[in-house]
Amino acid sequence: MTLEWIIRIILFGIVHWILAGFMLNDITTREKVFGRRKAPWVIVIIIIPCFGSLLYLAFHPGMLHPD
Amino acid sequence: MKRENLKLFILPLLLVVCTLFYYFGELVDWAAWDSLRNNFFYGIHDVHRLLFLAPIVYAGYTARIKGAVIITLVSFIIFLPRAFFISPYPDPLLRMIIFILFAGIIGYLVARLRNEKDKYRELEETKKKQ
Repeated sequence: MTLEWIIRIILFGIVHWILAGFMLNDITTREKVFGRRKAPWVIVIIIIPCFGSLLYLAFHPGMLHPD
Repeated sequence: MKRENLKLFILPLLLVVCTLFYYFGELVDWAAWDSLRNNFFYGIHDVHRLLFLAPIVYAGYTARIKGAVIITLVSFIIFLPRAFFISPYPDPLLRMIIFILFAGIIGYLVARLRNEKDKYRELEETKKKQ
C-alpha cells in the first residue's frame, strides 16, 4: 500500500469520526428517532464509515433546522 | 405540506442537484446519453465544485456553525470518489481539500454573522422592554 493511499484512508477516517460525533450527539439529545430504536442507528453510524452518518442525516433532516 | 416541512428538504435537494452536476459526465457515460455529451463535463472540475458553496452557505445561514461543518463534510465525502478514482488531472485531492477548507471557512463566517445578528436583535428587544 502506497503512502498516498494511507493518507486517503486516514483522511476518510477523520471525516467519518467527526460526522459520527455530530450524529451521535444528535441521537443522545433527540427524543424520537426514525424507527423508534436508537441502538441500531448508533451501530449503523459507527460501523458504516461516512455513509452511515449520511443515512442518519437523510432520515433526520430536522437536525439541520434548529430554528 | 407545511412550509416549515418543505424547508427541511431544501438542503438535501441542493446537495443532490450539485452532486448530479458534479458527476454529470460520468452519468452521461453510464447512461449513454450521447446527445447530452459536452466537453465542459469532462475537464477539471474546479468550477463545478464551486456550486457546492450554495448548500454550505445556506447551511451556515439556517443551521449555523454545526450545519456549516456538517454540510462541508458531506460535500467532502461527495468529492472523494472523483479525487480517488476518476480525476486524471494532477493533485485532485489537494485541490479538493483547499476548496473544502475555504468553503468551510465561508460557511463558518456566515454562521457567525447570523449568530451576531440574532444577539443584536435580542439586545434591542430587551432594551425596548426596559
